[in-house]
Amino acid sequence: MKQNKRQIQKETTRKLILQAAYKVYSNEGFDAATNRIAKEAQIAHGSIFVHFPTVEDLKAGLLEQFGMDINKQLHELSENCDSLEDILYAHIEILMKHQGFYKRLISESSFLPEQARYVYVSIQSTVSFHLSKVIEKYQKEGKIKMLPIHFVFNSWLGLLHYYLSNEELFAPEGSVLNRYKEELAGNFLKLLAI
Amino acid sequence: MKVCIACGMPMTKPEDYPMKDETKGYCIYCARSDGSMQSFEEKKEGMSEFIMKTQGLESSVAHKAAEELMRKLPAWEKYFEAE
Ligand SMILES: [Zn+2]
Repeated sequence: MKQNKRQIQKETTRKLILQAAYKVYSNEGFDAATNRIAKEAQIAHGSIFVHFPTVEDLKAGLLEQFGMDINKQLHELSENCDSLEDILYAHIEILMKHQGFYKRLISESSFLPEQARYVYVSIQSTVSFHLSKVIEKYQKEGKIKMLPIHFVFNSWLGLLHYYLSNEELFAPEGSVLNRYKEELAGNFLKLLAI
Repeated sequence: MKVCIACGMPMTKPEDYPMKDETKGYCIYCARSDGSMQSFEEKKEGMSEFIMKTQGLESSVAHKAAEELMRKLPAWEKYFEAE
């Protein structure tokens, strides 16, 4: 695809805004003002709205970009792993990479605009897609209990989210996921095992 | 990287394509058994089922989520144009 200079420029500014928004929302939460984002991106406040007419559009666009990144990373990581353990670790590894943003996302998801909340579902779908394939395989082979897939998935997410949202209780210094990943993944597997 | 036009899944190996046909723009999960692409209704139903089965969402929410997901994919553009 051939793009002219103006299109490239436009695309670059859009990326810059999304990167800045990612950083500001990670640090300050989703109610951070757009002028904070403009300052971080070192652009005029008004140019944010050239690319995203409303702040809802910006949040949805940011989540979409985040979803695409996660999708790609998870697909790559799960390419070579067919054990449930590998997938759980791949999931943790990706969340660790985006820990600040993801924490905001799970603690503030009910305050997000409706449009962005469906993007949140689609992000979790990417994870459940890879996990469910392995869970089904393991269940067929009689390696793990025949629990409903959504129950296994939601239990895993619930566990991770509980540790993440109470990070200061479990790991006042450093990353809670990094510190507990063996315990969480290891014991979760033991819970499922027959 | 190529991404499925109908569901957004990254397609990186022959097994990701229907009948391993890498010229196709859609993935194996968006194809019927004869290799043709599923219809809008078929895909929406399939995606909703998948969301309910793997995440346990309530049926109407899962259907809405599937529709919102499809809204952003090139294969279904014309279904949302009228809105
Ligand atoms: Zn597909």
